[in-house]
Amino acid sequence: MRRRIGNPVADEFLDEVDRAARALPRSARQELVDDLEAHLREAVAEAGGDEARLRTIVDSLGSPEEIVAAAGAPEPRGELAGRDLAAIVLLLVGGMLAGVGWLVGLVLLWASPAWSVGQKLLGTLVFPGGLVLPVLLLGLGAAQTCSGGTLTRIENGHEVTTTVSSSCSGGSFPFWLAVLLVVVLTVGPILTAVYLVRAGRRTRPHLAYAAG
Amino acid sequence: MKSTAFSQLRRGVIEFCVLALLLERERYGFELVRTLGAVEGLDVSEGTVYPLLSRLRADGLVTTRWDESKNGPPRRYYAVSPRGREALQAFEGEWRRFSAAVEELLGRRTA
Repeated sequence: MRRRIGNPVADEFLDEVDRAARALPRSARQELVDDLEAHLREAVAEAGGDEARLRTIVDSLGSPEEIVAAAGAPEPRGELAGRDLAAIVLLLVGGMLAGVGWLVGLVLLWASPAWSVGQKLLGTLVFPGGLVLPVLLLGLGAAQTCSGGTLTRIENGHEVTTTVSSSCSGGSFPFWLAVLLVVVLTVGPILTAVYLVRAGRRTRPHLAYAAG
Repeated sequence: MKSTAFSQLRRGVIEFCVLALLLERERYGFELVRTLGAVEGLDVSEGTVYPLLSRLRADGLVTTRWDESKNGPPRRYYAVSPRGREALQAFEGEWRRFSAAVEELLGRRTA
């Protein structure tokens, strides 16, 4: 028996809970045992040496099995509300509809009780317009036309090669920068969307009541 | 042996009972759990309140702080967050309606 508090009754109970919590994820198991240990420290102090009184307090906790059952209770896997899914989709691709779609998505996002303010800010700022930005950039890149190359002429019987400097129209945008921006602006909104979908699932009863 | 469905119902409702207790004032774990356990008829196993508190904390309905008291070990104090306050208020409305309806229906049985 591991000596945690120093009281045999309390320590044995904590051991039993720790054993019963084997199947829980490590952090949940540790947190449960820590909470109960703190509880029992107070109990020992309150019982003031009266073992019978301590026993009563320990019994009030319930059996290790039912405590662990409460900790590992399978959460009813919630659904993402239809409206919330629409919000995320619009934020992602609604910008293509002259930006209006994105705005509608934004309104739905902020009106929904499914997300916290921090999550809503994330959805708003990463990135405004959703996937419109990388698409626009790609479009700009495609519109960029470069001409140039080498030109070979015959002059005075000799071959003269002139290199015509390449000129690009459509703005001078370094290629690597464009690629980097497209990647970042595509990955950002997609990851945010996935995160919001997972966070928006109403899994627990009290979450149905908790506003954003 | 309680059915699983009712256990989940109880657990959901007891979460709001915890919030209601914290609405009065912040409390440390031992105090909160003992107070809840002493409520006649609630029949809650005190040990099961701790996982419940963990969930409330994870969902942002409850905040905690540590109090390094000089005499004795540090205590973790629980307080209800603004989000928890709103959730409790919303639940209260529905609960009153629902439980009144259930009471009425059960009352008809004896009539």
